[in-house]
Amino acid sequence: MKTKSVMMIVALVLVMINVQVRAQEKFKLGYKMEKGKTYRYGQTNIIETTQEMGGQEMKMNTDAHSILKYDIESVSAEGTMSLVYSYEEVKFHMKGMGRDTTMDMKDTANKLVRAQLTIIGKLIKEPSKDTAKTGKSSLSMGSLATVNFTRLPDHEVGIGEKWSRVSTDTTDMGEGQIVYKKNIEYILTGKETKGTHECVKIEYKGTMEITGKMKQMGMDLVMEGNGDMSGTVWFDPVLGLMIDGLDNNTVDITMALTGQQQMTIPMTQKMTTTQSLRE
Amino acid sequence: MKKLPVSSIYIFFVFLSSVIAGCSGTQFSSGNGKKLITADFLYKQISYLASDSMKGRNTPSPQLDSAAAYIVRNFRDWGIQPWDGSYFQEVPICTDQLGDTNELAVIRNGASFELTIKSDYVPYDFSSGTSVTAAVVFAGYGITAPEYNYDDYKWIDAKGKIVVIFRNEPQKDDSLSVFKGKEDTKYISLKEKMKNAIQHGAAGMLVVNGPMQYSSVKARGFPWPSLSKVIPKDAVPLHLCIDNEDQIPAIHIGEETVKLLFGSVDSLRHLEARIEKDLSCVSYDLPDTKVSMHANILTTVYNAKNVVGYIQGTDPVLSKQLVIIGAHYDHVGYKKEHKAGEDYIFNGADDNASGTSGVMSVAYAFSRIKEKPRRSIMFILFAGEEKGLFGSRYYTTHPLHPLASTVAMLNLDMISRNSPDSLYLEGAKQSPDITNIIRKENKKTKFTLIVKNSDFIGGSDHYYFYKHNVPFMFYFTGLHKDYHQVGDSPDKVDCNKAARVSRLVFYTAGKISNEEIRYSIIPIESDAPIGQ
Repeated sequence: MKTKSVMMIVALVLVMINVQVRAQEKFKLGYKMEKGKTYRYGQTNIIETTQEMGGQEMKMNTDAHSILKYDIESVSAEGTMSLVYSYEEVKFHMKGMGRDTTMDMKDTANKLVRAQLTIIGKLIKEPSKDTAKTGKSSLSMGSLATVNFTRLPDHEVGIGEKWSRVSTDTTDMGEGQIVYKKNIEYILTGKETKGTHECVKIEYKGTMEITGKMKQMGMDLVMEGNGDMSGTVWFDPVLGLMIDGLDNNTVDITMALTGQQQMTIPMTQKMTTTQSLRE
Repeated sequence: MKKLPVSSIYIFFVFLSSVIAGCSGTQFSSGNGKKLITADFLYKQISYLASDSMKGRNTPSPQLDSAAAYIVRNFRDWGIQPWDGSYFQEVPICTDQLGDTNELAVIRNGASFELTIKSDYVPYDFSSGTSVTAAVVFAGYGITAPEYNYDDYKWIDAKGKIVVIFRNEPQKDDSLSVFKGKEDTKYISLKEKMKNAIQHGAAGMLVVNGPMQYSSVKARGFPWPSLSKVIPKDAVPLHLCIDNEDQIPAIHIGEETVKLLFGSVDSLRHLEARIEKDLSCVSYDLPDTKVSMHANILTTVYNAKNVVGYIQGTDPVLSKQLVIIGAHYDHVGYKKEHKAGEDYIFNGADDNASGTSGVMSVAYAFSRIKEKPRRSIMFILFAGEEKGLFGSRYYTTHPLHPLASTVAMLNLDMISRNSPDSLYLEGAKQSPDITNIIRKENKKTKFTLIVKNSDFIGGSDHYYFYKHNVPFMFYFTGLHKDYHQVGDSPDKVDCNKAARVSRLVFYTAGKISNEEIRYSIIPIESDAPIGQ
């Protein structure tokens, strides 16, 4: 009995020491991309869309592979980056609803968008440099500005500490806009090695609301939806770069068409995105 | 000269007339085609039907009714007969909204728990608007599939009860599942599930997301505008009223309702897991549980019209058989929001004033030729094609003449654009005999035929005839940049081409309506693409 008690005390002490050590290790995280350099990320999206019309469920599975390129034009003394991002490669494969299509989206590849982000990944300016409208594709260039820029905390954080972000992002699409309202909570959960990088591991989860209004082929389209997201980012605090990322989200969306066609399309979209720095 | 007896003269005339009839029957004279079916004739009809005053002939609309009246005036003037006293077949089209007196309550051991619409339950658009209070039975996926040796109703009596069923199909992530692996079978459809529930005597249907297959057990049902901040009322699609006949109340339920019925979401997950494991039937009566449900569906009914003209065949036997020449006369209306001076009307000159005018010109030609066809011919101008082939679907479920005695359906949809000599024929794989006739008759019209020998059946009114095994052909001159745009106006149509296509239809119909043979049809495969 006595031995057991001692062992419990020892274990407790060890836990406390470990907590203290970890608590003492603080990180000031920030993006440290360098002027004149180009960074590339490989990205894979696996999307399962289920839509329902007249009691009939229909599924569409999409997988997209792309390479996203960031050219860093300038970095201010405070760390604000001016960058141009573009796709070098976008390939889609869609299967379902009677279709089996592979697309190499050359029209989207190489279209450029210039953006300005703060050191913690806050988008402050995103003027279009070239036509980056989505056209017929479902890929939104606008929303990709921050895809590899997880919002970092504006203060030092230790392991187990949380921070949050409430944001409203807008994407232009088809003579209209889609507005995403996100509420995300991040937590620094630990350290992990990814390849040659000593990374901190940031986990997050949150909710998302989507509303949109646009015109497509002479029809008015409105959409509303909500969903959940979660993910993990492996961030190299020394290089100031995301090394790997994994994001899962599920969104229930309803689209409604009026005009030439009257239609309401409830759909659920599950998306898994993985990103990885290409070196 | 020896005088012939009167009876001999009578026999001679009977013989002569039978020879003449025989000749005219097998030798359909097509020489009139060029004279009767002209570009000017086509232009006159197209420019009227696709004028701005027709405001795009939306279904339903007063302008569509005006177009119908115009076609009937012409039919009457040309001596084209009505069918059974009427030139119209009414097509009841419905649209639904959700009222505000919906109800869902779970009654357990005498205590009633009221649930809240939107968060706890949402009625489906195919639900009946009736009320029911009854005992509850869990019925798995609600599927009876003898070919897969699967029956969720095997151990239960659903008569007069409310069934609770999962969405989707069992073993959806198992590529080796008897349910066609990961592919969908017809049993995935909620309407099929409702049909099955009704066949088992169920009085109501509650649908739930299986917690293993779906990431959440949320109630979504149908996205009713009254439950949304952004969905406009006019986004609710029209449907044929017959689609919602003989239904029962159907509601999608969420987590709170699941907890009241099953105790927890985990209990439901456990049931799902047992089915997933070996397709066991785990259906059971929920003890001491009743549900009271009411979906307050408010339905508005419109009567669109198919326009029907008829030429009686001359042969006593063959006249009981019908050749249908059809086209849709509706289009997609006009932009409700537009700037001053902006062209806002989708005139639909090619789509499908051209096909409508083509049918009218063929009707006119048949009304003018002396040698009437041996088989009867029906000219049908369908409403509601743009909304989902409503007119032709309604006709094939309510045929004016038995489809078994309908020898062919020739469909004209968009026949006046693109290069002057090209013509698509869709249906070659399905209707090879008709295709051969058209190839021969095309020697007179000299089109470069683009004959599609594919499974794609094309999204137009021939589709439902094909589904009912009627040999068909779809005449089409191809898509263009003005398709469903305000630029599809009468000034852009090629009336010479439309007249040539119409003449080819006239020659084909002439041949078909004077032959005695029946034509082959390769039956539809259940998963053939509709291409709408």
